[in-house]
Amino acid sequence: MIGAPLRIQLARIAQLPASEWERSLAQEFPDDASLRMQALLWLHAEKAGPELEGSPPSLGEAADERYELALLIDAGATASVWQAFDRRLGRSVAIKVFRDHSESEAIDQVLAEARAASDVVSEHVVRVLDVQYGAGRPYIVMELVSEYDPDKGDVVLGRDASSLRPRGVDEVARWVMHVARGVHEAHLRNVFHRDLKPKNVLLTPNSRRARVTDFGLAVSGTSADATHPAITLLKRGPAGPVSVRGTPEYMAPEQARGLPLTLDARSAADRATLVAIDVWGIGAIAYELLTGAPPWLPRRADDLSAWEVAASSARPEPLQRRRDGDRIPPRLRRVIEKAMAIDPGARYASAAAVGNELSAFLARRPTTLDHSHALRIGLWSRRNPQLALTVLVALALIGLAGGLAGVTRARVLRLRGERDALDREVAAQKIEQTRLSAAVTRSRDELDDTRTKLAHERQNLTSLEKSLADERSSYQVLFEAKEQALRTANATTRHMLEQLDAAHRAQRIAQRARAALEQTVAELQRELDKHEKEREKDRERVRRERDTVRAERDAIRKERDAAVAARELAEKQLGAAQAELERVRRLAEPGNASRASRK
Amino acid sequence: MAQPNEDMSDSEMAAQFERIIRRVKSSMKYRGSYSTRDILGSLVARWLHSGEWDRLKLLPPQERHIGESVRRFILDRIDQLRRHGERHELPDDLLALPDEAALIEMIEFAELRAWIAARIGELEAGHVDPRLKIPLVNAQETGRALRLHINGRTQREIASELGISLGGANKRIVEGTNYLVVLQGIEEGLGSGA
Repeated sequence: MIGAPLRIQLARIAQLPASEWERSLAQEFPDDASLRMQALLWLHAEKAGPELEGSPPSLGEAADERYELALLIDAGATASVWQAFDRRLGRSVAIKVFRDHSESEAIDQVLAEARAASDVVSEHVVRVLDVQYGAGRPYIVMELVSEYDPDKGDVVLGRDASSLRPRGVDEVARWVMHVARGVHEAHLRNVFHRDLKPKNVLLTPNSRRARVTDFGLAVSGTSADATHPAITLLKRGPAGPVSVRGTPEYMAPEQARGLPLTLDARSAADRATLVAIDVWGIGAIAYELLTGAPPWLPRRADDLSAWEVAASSARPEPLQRRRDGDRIPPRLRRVIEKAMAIDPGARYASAAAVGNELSAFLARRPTTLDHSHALRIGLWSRRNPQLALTVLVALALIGLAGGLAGVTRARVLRLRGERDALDREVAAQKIEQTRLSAAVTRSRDELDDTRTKLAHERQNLTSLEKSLADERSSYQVLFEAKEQALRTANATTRHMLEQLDAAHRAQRIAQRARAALEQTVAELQRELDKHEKEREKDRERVRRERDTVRAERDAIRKERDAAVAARELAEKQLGAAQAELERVRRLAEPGNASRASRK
Repeated sequence: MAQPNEDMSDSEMAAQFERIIRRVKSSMKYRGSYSTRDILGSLVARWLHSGEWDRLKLLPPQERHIGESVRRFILDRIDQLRRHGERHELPDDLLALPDEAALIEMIEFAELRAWIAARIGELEAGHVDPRLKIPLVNAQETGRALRLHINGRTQREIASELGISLGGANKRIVEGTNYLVVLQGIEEGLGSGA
């Protein structure tokens, strides 16, 4: 396998027009046909690569001029949702952009549904502002669910209900009530959702109000929800073709089994069917918000998908306990169970009815399902505690007055019975009151906890400020110490400079002394030289005298030698003269004169 | 599957490239979002896993009767669903299946999906097909990114899961897809020469 340089070569070739790839590859890899083919496939695949989710798609020239896509909010298989700024109107919007490879028929349908949904105006519905085709990509401009957060000092986007945990049962009831009212507004305009689920409920970040979005998007399976994708299945039923559309995990059973393709909202029967599906959807939202799980889940035991479970005669797991283990209030449970009745005819007749029921639940008023007199009286008493107490006292007084008047035993018994009933009611009320008191106590405790936390926070803040002040004082001390050290260093420096000056002065004096000394030395040297010269002269004179003496001595020696030689010569001449003289003497002697003449 | 030959024209090769790339990518973005065709596709995939296709492949094409086999399998499946409770009855004779050519195409898609899943599994284990001459930078991470991608996770989620940047996740998906496309090309005889 060739290493990283090959990738670099490929990246360079990818920059060229596609028509030149083959030629360029032939130049780069002339001896490896299989590599050329693989590289060509690689380059073509990369060119057609998956769309970058991080970069905003173009909506066409005009739309790009108007909308500035800024932030990707959500993305799925068929569409992505962007936060955008509408330059023309100067406001932020949400834009759902469909991928250009989506099926056109489905897109046409969803755009038609979105246009219909644009008629729905409700504080509980995300308004559709525009529906357009741009640069081959259809897009839907919607209201951006956001709120200003004073703590963050910025606008914060809303979140869908599937990603936010409700704070309690009442909040679930309030969200679902908002959903029901929004859905009812849509129903009044013959717009039906058919894919209600927590993912399609957006919540404002601060006020935590619920708003329904994506009306009609499930119809063509173009929801952006990748976690629970919607399905679109067409099949033949006994009475003609039917369609299964929606998200399997939240589908009404009859929706999972298939609905006729010819449903017409103007027909009363079809309208009732569509309303019943959305009422189920409202119940399904409440179901998941309370239990943390959708009504339908795949069954691994017999390999059934969620859609298949929904289409069977199965029933969702009963609503008993919330996701945190707390018990679900029976009054709320009854409302949700009625909304999610398997038989569509047994459900609420409208979304508004569900909203009203939840409103009653929240206001502690009896719902249409609260038939018990005791419960109704209990609820009334909780709403009017003082009046209830007055009535009780009055009844007791009446009973007392009756007794005093000597009513018959039967009447007494009846009154006793009534009193017992009232006692029971009072007991029930007391229990309810105890529960409420406990709830109030819990709330107070929570409030106290919050206060305590706040106090702790304040204390922390104070200690933080104190530590900050300590830090500041430490810094001050440190600063002063530094200043002092700096001053000391300055003084030391000054002292050293003075010492340096003194040293310089001493050095100058020493230099002068040295110069004088050197002068003296020079003079002495000169004197020495002079003496030396004189000495030399003396030496020379002595040498000359000595030489003279030596020469005189040599001359004397020579004279002596000459005198010696002269003496020796004289001695020799004397010897010779003496010898001659001797000879002459001998000759002069008689007898020796004849021998001498013979000879 | 079509095999290339030496005399293949540029346009034919481009068409084959385009077909391979489209098939691989459409198989990868299947994501279980079911159209009618995808529902049938999933049933065909189950039929494929039942081993029936392996048995039929041994028979001559004229004796396979794929449509009938798939139809019988789906009816069995519906019977199985019926046993789970009441539902609107779907008469057997009304079950509409596509024609045999479309069924074969669906089978090919189901096979391709299974092939892709297997290759991704290999990448996750760090194994890169030795026939590929273009190196993969980080095979295991690419495999994990592809696995999450075909499971319908967004690139943002993939990036978060793998602890890499959004651009990094996109790069891994693109690279992995290219790898699968090239391998599929090799399977079809393109660029497989030693």
